[in-house]
Amino acid sequence: MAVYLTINRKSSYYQYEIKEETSSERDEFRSQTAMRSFNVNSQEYSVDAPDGMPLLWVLRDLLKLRGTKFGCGKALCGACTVHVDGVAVRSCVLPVEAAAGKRIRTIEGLGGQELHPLQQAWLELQVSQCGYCQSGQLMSAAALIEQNHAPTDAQIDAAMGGNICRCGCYPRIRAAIKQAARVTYAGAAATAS
Amino acid sequence: MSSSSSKITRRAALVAGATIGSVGLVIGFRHVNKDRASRQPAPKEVFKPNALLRITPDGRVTAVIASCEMGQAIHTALAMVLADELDADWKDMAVEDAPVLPEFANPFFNGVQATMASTSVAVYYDTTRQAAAAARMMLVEAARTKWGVAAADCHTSNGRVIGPGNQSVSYGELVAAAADLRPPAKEALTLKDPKDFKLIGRSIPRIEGRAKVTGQPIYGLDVDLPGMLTAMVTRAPVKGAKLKGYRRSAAEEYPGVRAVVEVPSGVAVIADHYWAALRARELLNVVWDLGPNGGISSPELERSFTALSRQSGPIAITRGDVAGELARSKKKVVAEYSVPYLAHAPMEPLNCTIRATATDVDVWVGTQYPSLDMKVLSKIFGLPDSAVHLHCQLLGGGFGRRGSPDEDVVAETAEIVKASRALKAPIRNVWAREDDIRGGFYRPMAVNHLEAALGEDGLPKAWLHRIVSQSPVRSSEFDFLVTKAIDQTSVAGAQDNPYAIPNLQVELQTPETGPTVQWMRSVGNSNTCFAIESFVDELARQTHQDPVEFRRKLLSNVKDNARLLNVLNLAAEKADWGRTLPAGTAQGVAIQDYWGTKVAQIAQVTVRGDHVRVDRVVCAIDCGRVVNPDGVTMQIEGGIIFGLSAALGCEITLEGGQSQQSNFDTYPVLRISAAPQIEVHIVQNTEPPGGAGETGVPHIAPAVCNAIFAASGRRVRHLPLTRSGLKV
Repeated sequence: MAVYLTINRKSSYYQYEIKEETSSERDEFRSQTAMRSFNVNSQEYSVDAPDGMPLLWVLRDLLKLRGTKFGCGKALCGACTVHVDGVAVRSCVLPVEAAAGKRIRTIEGLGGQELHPLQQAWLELQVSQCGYCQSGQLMSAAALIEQNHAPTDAQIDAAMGGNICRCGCYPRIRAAIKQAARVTYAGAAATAS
Repeated sequence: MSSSSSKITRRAALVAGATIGSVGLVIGFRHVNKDRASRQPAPKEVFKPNALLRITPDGRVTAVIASCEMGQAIHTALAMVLADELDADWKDMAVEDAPVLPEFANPFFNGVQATMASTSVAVYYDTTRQAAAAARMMLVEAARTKWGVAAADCHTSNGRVIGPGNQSVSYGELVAAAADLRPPAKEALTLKDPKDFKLIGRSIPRIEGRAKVTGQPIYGLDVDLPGMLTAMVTRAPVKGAKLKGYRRSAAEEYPGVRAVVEVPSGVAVIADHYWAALRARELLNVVWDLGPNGGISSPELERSFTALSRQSGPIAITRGDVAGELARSKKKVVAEYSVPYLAHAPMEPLNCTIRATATDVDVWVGTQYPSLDMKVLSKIFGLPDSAVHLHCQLLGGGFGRRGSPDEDVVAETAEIVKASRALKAPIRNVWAREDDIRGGFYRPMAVNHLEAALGEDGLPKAWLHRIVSQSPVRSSEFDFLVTKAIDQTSVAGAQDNPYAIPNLQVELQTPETGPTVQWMRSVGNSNTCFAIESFVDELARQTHQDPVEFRRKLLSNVKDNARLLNVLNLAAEKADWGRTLPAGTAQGVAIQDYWGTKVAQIAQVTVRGDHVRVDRVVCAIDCGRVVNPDGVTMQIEGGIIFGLSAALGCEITLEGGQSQQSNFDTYPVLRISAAPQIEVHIVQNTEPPGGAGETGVPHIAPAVCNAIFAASGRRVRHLPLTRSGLKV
């Protein structure tokens, strides 16, 4: 992952001399494509994608699953959050080869036929404004409440700190997560306390 | 003495500027069949009495809405107004973005069709009601004729006309008959008595809410067309830079790349998907001749703006003898405040998709400025307006950026498509986050120089406010807002200073040097409110007066201040102003009339060493009649968080003419852990409805900074507060 994050270091913005392309540079940018298979929302997909292509763009541009959003490309905003084998990850920096063979869950697969309790709480408390970050917020929140059935504000802040909402839905996000956790795990939380 | 005589109201300022060449307020129902879609004879199965709505036999009512939906719930609010006046069943409502037509022009904006400056409810409330009332009366007429009864014996409710006895008929069943009728004249319209409103005034969930929690492809960036390619542009890093050279073949050979083309804004790589375009773009190694703007740096700009602020400049407003009173004063206070350049940074990166043939252009974009998009597209493609088809998408945030003075993103996409005609492919132009944050079109930096002469009573006798800021509206279609060298948006809040100050002068200097600038959520008020409300606080502290009480004194005895005073009192009451708080925790207040909407905020802040935490914000707002109270609450909550990002950490600084920030690591917009508890209290009244979308933004910075002073004795005069050695 760390290696991957350095890819943008050759951003052309600040280069003022034309440089000859080196052979190593050529190698880095001539990555191979290969067929990759994974399971997305309980459906099997095989797709021809180049090495290094982030899962986000495989989902959006190749599989045409556009619920997962692009916000920053650097794992800084969380709009692209999906679950890989049950763990919330930023798909904009996860190379496709690292996702191959894994079980992936996106916003399209969060609820089943019915809305997930988080989606329900999001609607009841009218969390969304522009809504663009909400796929990522919901996926991060789902991973949180699956782990922690009764999160406190501080725990929510810690778990959701990677998800930016520019419209400022944060107070409602806190409330909606607690409501969904309560609805889903009322029995468990009561037993635990 | 009354300061109200010198006040400008939003309506006065904007309409005064809009008299020449304005299309004026055009009521939709007078324009039957002017809509492009209805130039063909309307099919009998659709009742379309005007451009603002249509009803189909299944009873579905579609509200056609001029304002774009960028999170402010305006689609919901205007559909509520329409449904209420129509007596439609809310369950039957659907919404659709309006095409560009005179019916939808924003009368505050010189006929421009744009969603900006919190104007939507204010400008479309009456026209929407009138359009719905016309439709309702036609449906009643159709039912009455069918039954052979008098109109007076019929009424409407929940999408049905109800006649004498128990007979009733649904709107859907009346579609064919109503479509044959002529719309009533404007004078013949009967509007509902507001006491009979069923939807207006209620908190109704946003109409597109479900799509937003289930990941539906509703945004511009989600558009997918057969054969669509993705373009990314390496743009000039500073305004006015010239392209010197680049490595074309390296990018062209990259797998998945279809073309490399030059466009006025830079060099575009067109590829099969985003990832290929991004990677290939990195190979371009574009070389620029930066030109004179390549020498601009923030410290230099700040020095020159500050120097200007210490000299007199063009006068926006003056009364009394400010110079004399300041010279004679025994107690003079001087302070300077500044705010930095800011990037809007909407969560959805900027994008636009265009498909062009020889005869037609289709564009898919989340836009705040459809009328300029149409102009730009018809000009670039050399086609008449009728050949340009704009498909408005939902906006993943706008904050002003999705309506720029030259609609740079749409224009750039059109140029890419034009330059790559041979590909015969629809093209989606995407900006990376770095392109957005480095890309200019910033909220202007501003420096404020304030001087006050305090009288024996501890109240200001004279007040001088000098503002130095680039103009966001000059050279745009909004240049009608520049009068006698004064950009009204830059002095908003300052020249309508609400306080009882007998001698007052506001000056504005408008330098041309700097990056490209444009309006951002709350425009000039985000600067003036910070400067004025911080300075008022300093004056109160200097004379050992309670900041709320000080403001009350300055507001009373001034005509027109009753509603502003009322929100101040309401916020103070709800925040329990003056209560005992632990050491290091304190409250701060700020108020402002934002173009007719009155807002007061009280922030409670804890300062520990250099660390600041905003614990709680209480806001009172009076925006006249409220259509959707939860919609207003949401906008205030969001406005406060948006304003906090700017107050606590965000700034764009320039070195070599280029932004030193590029993504959310260096441009730290607020995260959930720093979000305070927010309480919003809405004053209910029957004044004409006003704006809400931006009105929560300006007050939070001064409220927080005043609280920081109260908690720690540290005065923040330059935003963000990291400049004062503080951190979140």
